[in-house]
Amino acid sequence: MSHTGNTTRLQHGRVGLALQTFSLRREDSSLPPLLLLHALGAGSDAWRHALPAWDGGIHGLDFAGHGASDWILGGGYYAEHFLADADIALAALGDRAAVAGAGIGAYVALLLAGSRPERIPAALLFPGAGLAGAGSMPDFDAPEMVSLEAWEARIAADAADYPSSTDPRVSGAGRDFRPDDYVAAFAQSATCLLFGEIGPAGDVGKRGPMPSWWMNSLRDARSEAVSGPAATAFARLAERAR
Amino acid sequence: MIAPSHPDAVAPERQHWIDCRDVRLRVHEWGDPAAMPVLLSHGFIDHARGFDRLAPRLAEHFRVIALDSRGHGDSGWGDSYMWSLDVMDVVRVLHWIGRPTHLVGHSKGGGQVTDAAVAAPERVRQVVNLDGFGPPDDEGFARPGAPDTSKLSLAERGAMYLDRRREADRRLAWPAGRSFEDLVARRGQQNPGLEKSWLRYFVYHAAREDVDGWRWKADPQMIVGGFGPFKPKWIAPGWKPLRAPMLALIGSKLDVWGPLPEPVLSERLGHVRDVTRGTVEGSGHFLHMEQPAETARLILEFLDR
Repeated sequence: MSHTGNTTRLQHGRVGLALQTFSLRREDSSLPPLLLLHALGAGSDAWRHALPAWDGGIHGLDFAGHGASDWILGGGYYAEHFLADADIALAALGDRAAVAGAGIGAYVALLLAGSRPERIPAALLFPGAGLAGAGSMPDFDAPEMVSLEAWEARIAADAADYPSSTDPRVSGAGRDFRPDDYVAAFAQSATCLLFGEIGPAGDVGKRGPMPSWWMNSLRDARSEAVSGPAATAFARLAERAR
Repeated sequence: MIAPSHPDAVAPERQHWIDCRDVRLRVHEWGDPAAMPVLLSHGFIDHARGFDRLAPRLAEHFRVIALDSRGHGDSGWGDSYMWSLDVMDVVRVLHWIGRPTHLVGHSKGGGQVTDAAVAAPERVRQVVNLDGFGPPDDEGFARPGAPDTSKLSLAERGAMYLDRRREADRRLAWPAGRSFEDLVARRGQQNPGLEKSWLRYFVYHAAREDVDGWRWKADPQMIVGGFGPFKPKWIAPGWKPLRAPMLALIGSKLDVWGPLPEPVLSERLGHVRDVTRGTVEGSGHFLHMEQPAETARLILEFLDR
């Protein structure tokens, strides 16, 4: 771990990660640090204009291939790789944090909250890019055949949507399957999951139908939907994380 | 150290590099460059030179090309390993070959060449899968000495995966101070079915000597392992579109890595439109190393020449 300015460098295998500190913990705060996980293709800077009132310290991770983090040599991006990125950030924050994520960051927040329930008092999930993956299951009646040409074309097309700091290949992490029973096992293990209605980027208009795992998780007793703007959802997260 | 020789092994005649974006792949070749091509793909933690006994037999009729998968043998290392990357590497090698090719893969390589034949049907003639039909449905192959995780919940297994990844940066290189004999002993534990002189030959090409000792060529990051929702029962339904005829070979002896229980294997092969089955007598999982002559005979009998 090394610090330059307000960025801490972390190491996941051979891949260097950037953890950005947006605000420091106020000494008398009753809140744990807040770890922010961005949507697919974005970066921790996406939170800069949506920072909540949170005196426990606010930190934004750049997943591998995003923002100031290294690109993965050879590619190989998938949600559980980002999950391990987030867990390494959790360790750097003293192994206790509230987590909020958008899009694939929300999916990662759920998996992390389920894997580390004793270290994460509450997690807040927002819609955003990379939330649904490729759906819950492969279609066994019509298995997908992806040629090399189609694979390369996809990467090129996805790159057009990303800032130049993002590795175009990260889009692969938005094409994995997220089976209902798999996600449910993590949701049921989590201490508290909150589901925000509108993402901090306000991208409610762009999103398609919510994935089935999101709808299923909402039915769990430990889950709670929070309607209204992101600030309201963060206020609820603070109540549950204290 | 002088390279160990083996009376049955023939070193490749030619070697090439193929660039796959930012990882360089090594291929090894035997036989007439103008002959019909056969591409060989090895299993996890093995390498292309493990085909030094099978390849020369096939090279009597074919141009034989053996690929070192990324992270293995002389090929470059990546920072992350995924099944789909390996499959696309096979397809890239098929593009490099530039004409329809027979595919032969062992274990993980068997599953991957089959997926490559689905992804690039116009570039593949026939497929030979050497005991590469995936792990059993639930917990995977029970490796001796591995912790029993079958009683753990998915979330607990997720935590174990995260614990391993937190320490991944301690496994960037193999430790110093190991002798060649240490490595032979280690691989011998995993492959009790291999004869001693072949084991030494295989390990010599799986490793290199540095100033401070012998190290495996394979990337230790691969051992850290991944995690995800993938289920072994998803493998074979993905082979439904396979157009190429497949020869499915297993060994007659039950080994750690296979063969699958017969009902599971026949259910999986039930998804393959055109499949011929065969068994290599006297072999465990490593058909091409344990019984190369019989494995070659069955492959040559199957392939159009």
